[in-house]
Amino acid sequence: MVAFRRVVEDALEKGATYADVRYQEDRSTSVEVKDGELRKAVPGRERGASVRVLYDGTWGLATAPSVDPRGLRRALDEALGMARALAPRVSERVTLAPTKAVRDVVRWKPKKDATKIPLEAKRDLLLEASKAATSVAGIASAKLALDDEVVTTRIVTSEGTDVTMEVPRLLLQIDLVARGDHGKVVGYRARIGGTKGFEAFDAEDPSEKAGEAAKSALRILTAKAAPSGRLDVIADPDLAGVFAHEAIGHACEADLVIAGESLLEGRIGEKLGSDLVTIVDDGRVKGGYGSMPYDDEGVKASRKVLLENGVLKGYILSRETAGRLGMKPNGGARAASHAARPLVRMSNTLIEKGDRTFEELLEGVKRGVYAKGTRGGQVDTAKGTFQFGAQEAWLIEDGELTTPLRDVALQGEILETLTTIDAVGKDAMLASPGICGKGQLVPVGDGGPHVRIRNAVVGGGA
Amino acid sequence: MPVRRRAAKARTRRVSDEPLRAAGLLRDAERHVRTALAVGADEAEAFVLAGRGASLRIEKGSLTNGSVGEERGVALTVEKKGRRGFAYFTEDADAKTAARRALASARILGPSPGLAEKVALKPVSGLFDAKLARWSTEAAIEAAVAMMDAARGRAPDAVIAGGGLGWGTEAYALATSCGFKGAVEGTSLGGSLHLVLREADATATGFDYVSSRALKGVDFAGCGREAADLAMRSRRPKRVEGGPQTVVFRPTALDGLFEFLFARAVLGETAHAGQSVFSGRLGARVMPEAWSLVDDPRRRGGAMSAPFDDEGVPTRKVAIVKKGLLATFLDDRDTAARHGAKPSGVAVRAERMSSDRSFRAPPRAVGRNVTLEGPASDEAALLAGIRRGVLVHDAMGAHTANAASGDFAVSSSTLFEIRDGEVAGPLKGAMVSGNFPDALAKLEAAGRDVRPLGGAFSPLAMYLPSLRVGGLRVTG
Repeated sequence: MVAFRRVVEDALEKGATYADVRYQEDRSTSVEVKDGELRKAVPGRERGASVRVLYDGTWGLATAPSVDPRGLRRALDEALGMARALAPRVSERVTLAPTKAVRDVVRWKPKKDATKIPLEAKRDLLLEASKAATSVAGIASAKLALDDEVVTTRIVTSEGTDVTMEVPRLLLQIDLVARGDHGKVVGYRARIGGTKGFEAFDAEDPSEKAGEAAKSALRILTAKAAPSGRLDVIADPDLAGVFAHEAIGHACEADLVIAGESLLEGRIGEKLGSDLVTIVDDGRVKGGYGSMPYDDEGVKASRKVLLENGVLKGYILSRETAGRLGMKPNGGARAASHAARPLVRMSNTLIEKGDRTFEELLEGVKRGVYAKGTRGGQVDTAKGTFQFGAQEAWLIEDGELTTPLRDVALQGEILETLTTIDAVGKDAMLASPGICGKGQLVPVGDGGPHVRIRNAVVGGGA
Repeated sequence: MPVRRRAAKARTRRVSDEPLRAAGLLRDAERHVRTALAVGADEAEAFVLAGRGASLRIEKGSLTNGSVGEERGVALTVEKKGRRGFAYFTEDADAKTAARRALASARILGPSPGLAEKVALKPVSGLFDAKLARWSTEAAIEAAVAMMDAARGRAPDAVIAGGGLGWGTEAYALATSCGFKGAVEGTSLGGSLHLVLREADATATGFDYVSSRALKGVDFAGCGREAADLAMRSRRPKRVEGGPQTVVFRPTALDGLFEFLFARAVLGETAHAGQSVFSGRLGARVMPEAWSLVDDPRRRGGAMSAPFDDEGVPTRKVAIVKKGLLATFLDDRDTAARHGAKPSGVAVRAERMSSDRSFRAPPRAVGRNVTLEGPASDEAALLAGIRRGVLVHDAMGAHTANAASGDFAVSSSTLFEIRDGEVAGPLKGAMVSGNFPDALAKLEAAGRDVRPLGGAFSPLAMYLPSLRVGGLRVTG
């Protein structure tokens, strides 16, 4: 792969001040079982590379039509052409924050390499888990999708960095539909995954997970609609993680901060929330779905403290955004594929644990909602509002879990919510797998302990 | 996920002065079919996808970077002893290996619903614009600048926080050993602008977008003006009064709801199997008689229009809801074969959660251009008679709703009060909740302001106007 180094050297000769080549190879298998039958088994292999240049303080990126010297040279010329055309119109020149050149090869070897496990074994695992769900009376349908991949990335920069990394990833998604009286149906989702191989299933058994999911789905089927209005809420580790991701993580993405799209702009050092709240984005969580050895600019992944005891401590940074803000890059640049531009992204976003038991959290609630499991969320970082959906919920009355509720959604203002967290559990859970969309889809992890939020806006379905 | 700005779609890739030559892709597809037959497939199909496009990003009031790119990949389907298997690859050198792996997957997969056979295809117009295919980076830069200048002219104090332009060509070809041959080439253009206006008491935002398959008629400056005007109108919001109210959804607040709670709920895969709120309701009234909801893959210039779908079924206009009655579900070859239905011609190849066409996934029914047909009211008539209501411009979180039950609770941060048939002032963020099939059944009026919309997690296009629905729960 001398060609990569040659391309970045050529870029400098042609007037670029910086260049990198990012090559990616992805070997993947996607297997799906629905209602006890194998529906999909798709093996695939994909390779590609892109060239990125900084010319006159302006970025240009081009994907190579083929991963060979000719294709790379063409990509270089196109990236330079784009940057040259744009440069006269760019108001602020890019200055990259300096990083040390790194030469490294990291291969995360899973204990049980999923790419070496035959399709038949994957099918059997899904069929067994499917049976565990559908054998529960009332479960109308079970869809189980298993995606595994090994992604090899090589990043070569004009500053001497040459990093190769190999990362395995696996995600099992279980989607259940329960059907009750009068044709009423509800859905339920569960996931297992991480930067792991099949050993992920030693820690969490797919059949057990599917069986538990089936029980949850049935509970929602007969659950009552949630009350609407302002209520105390206890969020489970999954939802606490989604809160950390949606409400804080996105608002700490330095590109949004610089663009004026984050309400956390210029507020580092300010006390924004309760002493109890510490939130980190940690790219090094072992086995976390959003973990990586290096980011897509060849900067080592790190543990980034975003909020410490309620005080805003830092942002998630790429080299460009770190340069603009006068900060140190912290490994937050990620691209969804070889063709995509690295953006500032989260990795595993977690709320740090506190010191309360779940019972203690409950005790303090006269009337509220215990919300569990996530259906995902969304945030408007400029206005500072967020929304996320819980999978299942219970009414809390006088410190006791009482009536099961369905379709609970929470809405809030980030700053208000940070101050209304008044108790944090000591039961922090390791990141659970998620997929984050910000123009590009990337794997992430979320997690945290049980968290109590006072006076949150709860909206239920009809 | 952060709130979506409808930025330039990744569907659009690089532009070059050479056409992609769909005919060349078809020859490649035929070659890959022959390879698969040579390694032992009884029948084979190859889908070759190629895209070229460019995009420009706008951040904090300036163009910041540009990308050009192209993508090419091949999806292979083989049949062996009546079963079908899949594989994909990007490099020609991997074609044989992929064919063998597809055969391995056919050993464990179920019966094949068959591959496309020779058929005469009727072209769909308005898919390719030679001017757009040749659009230069320089001209696109001027268009982006025009968009920003227009916004600044209307809202000088606002920050142009983000946006961009993306344009390009996508071509694909499908060939089967059963005689099907088809190729499509289309252009597309997307642009958006998002403004943030910070004031002492609250932050106002405004956004707008353009989406087209042709350059002609695209009003870049108009997009900038609309975004700015919305931000200006949204200043100084007051708190919403909670309770059941009439809600007028702008098209920009409907995409998520229709994608997750309608289009998915009428897919044969779940609907035939009793797993959707619409299961068992074929022939039943689901909307007022005045309206129909159709999927029209032959819409002129439609974002998801094509003469044939991604598994070679010739396209036709399908009435999902016909004069208020649920008329059909949407099926691909596989779900049609399982449930004794006919393929609807609305299959797309796309990975889970992705809104782009892809060679990595087998085809499945998704929907193409979901369109509302029926009486349309002008703005005054749309709002007439609403004593107290809200006008909702955006809605976050439809993807977190319970798709199986249709219950939803979306959060809106750009909304206005409606008082006595007129739009009054802006409101602070609120949650709107209800049940989507109930809301459809209670549709009171539709506007004339149809806009093109795109799915967030599937390559579905929708063409929807403002819709007025009574009795939804609003929580402040």
